[in-house]
Formats: sequence, structure tokens, C-alpha cells
Amino acid sequence: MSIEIEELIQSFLNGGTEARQKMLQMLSANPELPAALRQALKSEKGDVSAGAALMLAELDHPLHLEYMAEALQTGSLLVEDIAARALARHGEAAVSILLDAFPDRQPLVQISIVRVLEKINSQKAVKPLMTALESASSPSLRYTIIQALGVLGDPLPIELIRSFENDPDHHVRERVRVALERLGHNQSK
Amino acid sequence: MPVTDITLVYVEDDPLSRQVMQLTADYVLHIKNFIVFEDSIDIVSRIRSLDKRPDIIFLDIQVRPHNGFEMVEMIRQDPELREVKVIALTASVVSTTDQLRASGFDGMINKPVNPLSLRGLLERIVQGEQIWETE
Repeated sequence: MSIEIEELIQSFLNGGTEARQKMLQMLSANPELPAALRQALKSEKGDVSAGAALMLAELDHPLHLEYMAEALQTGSLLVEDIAARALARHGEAAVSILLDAFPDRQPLVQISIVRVLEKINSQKAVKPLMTALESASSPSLRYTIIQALGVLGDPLPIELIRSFENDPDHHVRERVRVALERLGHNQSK
Repeated sequence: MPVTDITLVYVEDDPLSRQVMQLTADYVLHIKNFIVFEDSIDIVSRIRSLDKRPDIIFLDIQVRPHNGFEMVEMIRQDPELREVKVIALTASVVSTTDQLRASGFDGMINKPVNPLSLRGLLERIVQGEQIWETE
């Protein structure tokens, strides 16, 4: 990776939102930039890889989906989180990428993936999310999945959601109540 | 004031939410003064004991022993802290914007925070704008 791209990323990170938007507009005409940023995703410097992910996420270029899919599997928590959220713009086209990546991601990235699937309103996600819920050890992941299943609106997971009514975590219990209400079921049978 | 120069306090009991906020503060925002408290015990005196008065306080709503509503009330009653911008961080289904606004919050941000949008939100908060994220 050339030093120029690192300097560019640092300028981007240190600029205000307006300056960053101007910078991206100016750079969007440079056909070599996306490939250079793609390379920078692998940097061992946390701010360089995160900055590259941010720039790639915000740039409009034909390979956006492909690069974000790649960023989602870099092993860097922050890069993967940025990529998961950036994939939301692709709607249904991103669903299989998000679902395929889900099992091997860290819980924090899994939470972002679930929230994006909820935002996309993907019905394809219902069954995979049910499977994920059955084995989710993180309370934050459990309540995020329960919330998403409530929003997605398919009645299939009602009994599974109900099985978390007495979860040791109070956040989870609250999301169970809200999800069952959304799905038209009271908390108690 | 640039985002890098703000003093930001975050009260959060969820380790995952703390983790993404810490990474974002360090690698994306380059905030030099970012302080995290993992619970709300003696929260006002702990904030007052910091070297610098915070510019912004992020409060998780369901933190214990004092929840976000109780904490914002204590902060608003403190003569040194009452003018600080206080933002609720919530997963959105539990509290309504009206409840938060009436309780004295200056805004609400969904958690875990979004590294893609947090800089812009902080810039607006610093400029005095109220932020109420809806998704």
C-alpha cells in the first residue's frame, strides 16, 4: 500500500462531514481509488482499515456490493461492522451475503447484520434468524434477533420467541413482550 | 469545536455496545477524551471528578442501578452539569421520543452506535441541535 493512500485516509478521518463529502466527490472520478482502498482494508493499522471501509462504504462505485461483501469477512470487527451496515443500501441483493457471513462473525457484527436484515425487511431471513436465536449466547444478540423477528412479522417464530419469556436478561424479556405484541400474541398463553 | 476535541462520557452496561463505541471513538473519530462508565453508581460525582467537564454525555437507558431517566434527572439538578448535552442511547423499542424529551434528554441515538453516521451526529449535537434518531 502506498503512503499516499494512508495520508488520504487520515485526511478523510480528520475532516468534518462537509469536508469529507467534498473529498469523496472530488475523488469519485479517480478509477484507481476503490482498488487502493480495497487493499487498505487489510491494513494492520486500525484507523487505516476502518477509514478505508468508511470511504468505500460512502463512495458510489460499481463494485460497492462486492467490496463490502469482502470487507464483511476481513476479521476486523470495526471494518466488518461498517460493511454490514453499508450493505443495507443494496436491499434484497445483500441478503444472501449477510446470511452467509453471519455464522462466523463476532456477536457485535452479527447484531449489525440482524439490524440490517430487519431494515431490509427480508422474509428470507426468518428461518436463519430462528436458527441463530436458538444458539445465541449473547443477550444483546438474543434481544436483537427477537426484535427483528417481531418486526418481520412472520408468525412462524412465535413459539420460539415465547420460550425466551423467562430469559435471565431483562432486556431480552422486554423484547419478547414487544415482539409478541407485534405478532399479535399476548405474552401469556 | 471539532469532534476530536470534545470530551465524551458514555455510561453503558452492555459490553458489546461499549466495544463498538470505543473502537469508533479511537479509530474513526480520534476522540482524545472519551470516558466510559460501566454502571451508574454515584454517577454525578464520578463525572464531576473528571479533569474536564464533558461536552456530551451518552446514557444507556436501561443501565443499573440508576436508569437513564434517573441519571438525566440527577444531571439536570447538578449546577456544574446541568448544561451538558445528554443523549439517550437506546435500542428504540423500549422508550419513546416523547418520554425522553420530557425527561430532559437532548436527543436519542440508536445503539450499538453506527460508525458510518456517528461523526455527523456529534457535529450536530456540538452545534446545539437536538438529534432524535428513528431507526
